[in-house]
Amino acid sequence: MHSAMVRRRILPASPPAPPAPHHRPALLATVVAAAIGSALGSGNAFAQTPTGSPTCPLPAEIAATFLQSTCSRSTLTAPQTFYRYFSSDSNRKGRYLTTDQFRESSEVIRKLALNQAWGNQAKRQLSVTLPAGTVIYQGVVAPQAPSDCYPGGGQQTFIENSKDPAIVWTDGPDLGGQPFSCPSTSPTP
Amino acid sequence: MTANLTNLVPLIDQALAAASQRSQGAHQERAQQLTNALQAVRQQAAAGTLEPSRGVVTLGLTRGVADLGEPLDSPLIQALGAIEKYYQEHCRE
Repeated sequence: MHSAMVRRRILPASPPAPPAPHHRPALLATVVAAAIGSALGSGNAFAQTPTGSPTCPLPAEIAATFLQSTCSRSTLTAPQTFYRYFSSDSNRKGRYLTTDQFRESSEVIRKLALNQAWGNQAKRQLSVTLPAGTVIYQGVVAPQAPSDCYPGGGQQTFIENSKDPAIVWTDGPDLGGQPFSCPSTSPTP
Repeated sequence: MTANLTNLVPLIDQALAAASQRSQGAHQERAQQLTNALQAVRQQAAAGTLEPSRGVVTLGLTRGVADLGEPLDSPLIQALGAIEKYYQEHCRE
């Protein structure tokens, strides 16, 4: 316990770990800060205990779904509501959530990079209330090929256990707008 | 670039083998979606027409599978992660 307390005090003053050669820390910090700022600006107050990490404390395979494999880990100290967009029972509940609210399905699909090969047309919004104690990982959605269709850039929140019975999934409004269309003719998923 | 894309093919084949072992029934739709996605990427990789990753673009394979209950340490996730890693690191341009 004592060492953990000391570590908490020391960590913020420690120099950042050297970045991987392909990383651009300043840009990443700006992007992530912008995403978090966007979330804060939505009126959805954060109630978290940031544990902080310059990279992403998830398995590398999952971290890669965040822009530049960068995310931050936090533990909720109070219940907090996020959003998820879905179109059928098969994609209603999942690990990927967001703090972003959208009105049009096509915008959801682009910003959250919901590749249509996986069948989620993002026709409805869900409010997802996570209980206190839930560990969340937050960052920016990475682009997916074809990136002209799925540029990403939205806020991404990942939870490891979407089957936690304490999670409250509440149906929200239907989304409108034009049907999603991809300018690329590529058959990439 | 084309040579590197070609190197994706055996990684995709490994993932296809892992995908073929997925359970049937309720998960059959997801397994088919994954197979279709992998085959589409494989086709483009073999043809050299896959978009360059520029070090940031992903193929969405891990994202698609990890969303819906797949254990995060499963062989399938690892196989898909290997594809994504190679694509981001070696298919930049």
